[in-house]
Amino acid sequence: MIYLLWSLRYGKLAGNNPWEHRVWNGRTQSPPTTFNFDETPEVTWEAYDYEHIPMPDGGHA
Amino acid sequence: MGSPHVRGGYFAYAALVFSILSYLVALPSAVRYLTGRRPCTRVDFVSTPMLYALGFIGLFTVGGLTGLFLAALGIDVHVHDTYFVIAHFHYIMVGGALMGYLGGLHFWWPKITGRMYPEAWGRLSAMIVFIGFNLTFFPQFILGYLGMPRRYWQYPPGVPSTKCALYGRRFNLGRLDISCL
Repeated sequence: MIYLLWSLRYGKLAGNNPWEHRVWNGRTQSPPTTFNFDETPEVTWEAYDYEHIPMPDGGHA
Repeated sequence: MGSPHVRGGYFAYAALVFSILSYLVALPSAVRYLTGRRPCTRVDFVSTPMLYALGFIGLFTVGGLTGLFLAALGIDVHVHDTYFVIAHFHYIMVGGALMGYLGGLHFWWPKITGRMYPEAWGRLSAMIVFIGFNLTFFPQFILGYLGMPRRYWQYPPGVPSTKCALYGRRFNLGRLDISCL
């Protein structure tokens, strides 16, 4: 568990989408802002249609 | 999980009711577990959270199957109120709760803090937790099966073979691994 505390200061920046997922977690900042999204995100795709859901920006920094 | 832990007497009809209650826990748990496992078939990269999730599956399987032992009356007469129950309980609680908690902690850590934890250390700790837990609690299945009762401060003379008791004690040092992390 010690390395978790270590990573707080010295860990590399996680970026907005640390696991390179296509879900909503990757579409906001790390850590998220107070209301998770500053503006209401627009959805143009079906849920679970992962092959057509665009990948959010920002993997490992 | 109710019956093996709280059952008091051995009145036959009461035992029957407790057995039914135990099955009411065990069988839906098995269904829920087998259905929940399906999304894990498309895994292409084993990260720290995934290691914890796989550990969860392994430990929870053992805990769940031994739960069926405790629900079956014929076997429970033998292992009731022994270390077998303790081992079963910890496989359920550590396997079901602690492994999930630690895996979730690692999964959300970068999102929560904005910093990535070191992956190598994460995997190492997941392995140590898994191995240390098994070294601690698996011998308790054997101990309980050999007749070691729970809530005794000492090994009763001649009940479990001293060899197994010794191994159990020695393996309990594995608990240090968990507490150190």
